[in-house]
Amino acid sequence: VTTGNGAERQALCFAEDMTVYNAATQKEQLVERLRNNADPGRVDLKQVAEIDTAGVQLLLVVRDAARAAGGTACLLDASPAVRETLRLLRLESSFEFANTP
Amino acid sequence: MNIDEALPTFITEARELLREMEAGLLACEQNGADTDTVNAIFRSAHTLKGAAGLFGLDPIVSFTHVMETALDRVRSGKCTMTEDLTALMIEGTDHLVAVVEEIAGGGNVQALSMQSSGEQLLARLRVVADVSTDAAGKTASKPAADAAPAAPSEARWRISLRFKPDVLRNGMDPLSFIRYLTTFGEIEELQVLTDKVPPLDALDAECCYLGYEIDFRTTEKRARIEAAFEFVREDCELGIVQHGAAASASNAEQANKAARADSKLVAADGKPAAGDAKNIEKRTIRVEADKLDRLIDLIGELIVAGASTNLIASRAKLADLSESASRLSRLVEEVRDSALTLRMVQIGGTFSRFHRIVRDVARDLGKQIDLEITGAETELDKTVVERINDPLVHLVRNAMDHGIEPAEVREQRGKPARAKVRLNAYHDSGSVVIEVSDDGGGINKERVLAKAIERGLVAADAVLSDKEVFALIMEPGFSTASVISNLSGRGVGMDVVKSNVEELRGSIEIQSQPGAGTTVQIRLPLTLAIIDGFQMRVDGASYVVPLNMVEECVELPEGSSFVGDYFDLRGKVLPFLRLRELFESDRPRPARESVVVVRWGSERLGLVVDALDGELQAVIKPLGKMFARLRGISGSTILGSGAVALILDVPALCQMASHPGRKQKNSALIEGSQTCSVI
Repeated sequence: VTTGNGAERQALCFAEDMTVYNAATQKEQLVERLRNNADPGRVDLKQVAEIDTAGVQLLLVVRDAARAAGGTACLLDASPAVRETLRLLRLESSFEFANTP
Repeated sequence: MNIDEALPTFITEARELLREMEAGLLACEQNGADTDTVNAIFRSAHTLKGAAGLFGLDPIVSFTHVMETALDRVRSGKCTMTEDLTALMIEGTDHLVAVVEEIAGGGNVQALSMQSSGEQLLARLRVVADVSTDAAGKTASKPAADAAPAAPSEARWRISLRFKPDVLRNGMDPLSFIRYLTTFGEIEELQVLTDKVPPLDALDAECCYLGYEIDFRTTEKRARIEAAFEFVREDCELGIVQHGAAASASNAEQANKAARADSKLVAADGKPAAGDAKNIEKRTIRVEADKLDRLIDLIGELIVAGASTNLIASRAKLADLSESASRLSRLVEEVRDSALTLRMVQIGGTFSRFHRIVRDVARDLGKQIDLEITGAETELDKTVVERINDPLVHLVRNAMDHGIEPAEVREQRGKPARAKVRLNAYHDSGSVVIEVSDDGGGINKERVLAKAIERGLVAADAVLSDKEVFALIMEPGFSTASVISNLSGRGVGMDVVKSNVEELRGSIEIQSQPGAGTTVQIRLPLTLAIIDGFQMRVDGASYVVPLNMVEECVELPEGSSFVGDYFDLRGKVLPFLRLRELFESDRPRPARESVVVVRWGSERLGLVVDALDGELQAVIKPLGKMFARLRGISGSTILGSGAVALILDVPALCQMASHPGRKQKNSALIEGSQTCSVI
């Protein structure tokens, strides 16, 4: 992973479902990527179909990291299931959403 | 705790909720209604309704119910947030504020009836938002009705869920239980409590840290709700309390419980339920301001006592004692700093109220004006924030009324028709700067000068800088407005603004570009109570200046001559004041003198003194009324030895140095200072 200046920072990518089964690995990866200057303001969820409480916790941590950097976490290509879960928990307003073409 | 005791908590909460609703509505008016904002307003209205129901405040319940219903129709796309509707809603919040204030003022809650203005408003709201009269009307005409009138047996419950960390490992997902709830009722409100989530490094991703507070509406009984969590019983703490139970007297105990739960929430969260989840994460405790003031006073005493201990320790020449005393004073310093930060509040709260003021004034004037706020997170002392509000209102109104030109004139000048008023705040070397600026026509320098000469404020042949000319506007009795509107006349009241700012030991400066706009800059000290000071001596008497204003100390080269009021500091011109002369000491000068260079904003000044005594913590005691008119001195402090030192008013001294002609006016200062030094 390369680190560039602000404009070229990599989005944070979660590469599989954000459930408790993957949570421990994903947390390690998250620590690693944030250390490598990945941008918590852009979170790539293209490959995340399902999410549970463990995944929500990770997203909240990312959200706080984005806030700490003075921004808002933008979830890219969030699946309907992810959005539904965030809506259920009234957390939609904590994030921004965007779809890549 | 009974219901009455919890009422003040409700009032504070209600004020906050109403403020948030107002802010949301204003945002809708300015930028159009987006879903998030409407949702936020809805949530605030809903929380307010729930809380008011708990206290049996039916006028608020029935009123908010209609607003809530209207907002819900907007949310579901059944009606649009028109400008009319927004304006009505703003009026509605005004009405609610009035009702809440009436309750706060000790108005009889039970006897409170819907005021006629409220009824009218409701009627208009119903028409505009097309709220069917039977649903809303029922509530309004039957004030004792529960907050949720839809079905007779329907009830609202507050479900508090705290999961044990292992719940995920045990193969259970809390989310599925929440989803299950929606199969037999409606989740009205849900808060995710994230306070237990550790920082990323310490996070165990397989542990559950989240808690949930759920407002749930269902026709089912309590047992059904409990049953929903049966599988997870072992792995969570479950609390279920019925809402609105306070209304019935037979349920007194449950009501108490509910009130306690509610007030606990309020106390722990600061801003309950409203806004989004970030509000819950900000854990705050409400403390009475008096208690804080008492604490600060005590710390002031502690510092004085500590200073005298230090002095005694250094005299006693006991190494142990000195060491212990210095450790103590370091701790006192830390305690002081953290106590002072308790009093610090962000200026954003004050700033955000200006959205409403700007909106209303702009309507009155028929101008299109946007408010832009920056630096809202700048912190300053609570007392300062409270007292700066009125001057700011005046300045903003001034800018809108007189600064900003009518739209036609703006177009002629090639400016956008929508004008801009800006509020800005930032920290700058131990002081806080607050700016009110506009992109209007600027101040007509010639007219100001002509008027000042006419009023005899300056001599006809006076040569003044731009800054000095603009400062004339703030002289008492000055006004350039040929027509004074009901809002303000530029100049009228500016002297009041100035004296208000000076009471806070601050200063005010005006910059203006013809055709481009005006900026009023207020510079205030960070705190009013305790400062880090720098102590110096002239003729046996001690003087103190705030340490953060001191730039450097230099020794006065022997034999340097003092012709005029300036001397040469490494090639730069530095105006100076000899304190010895200022305070009319006639004893001979010591062989060596020092210069303390102080800075206030862009001005620098050298103070010539006999000796430098170094840093100290100074507890500022205000001067008595007798000395209130003294220029150049802002207060006094007590030294460790018990002697009194005067705190120099650096802004005023800077002004004296740059206007040497005005020194004669200060004979009072000189007489006064002699009285002071013998206190």
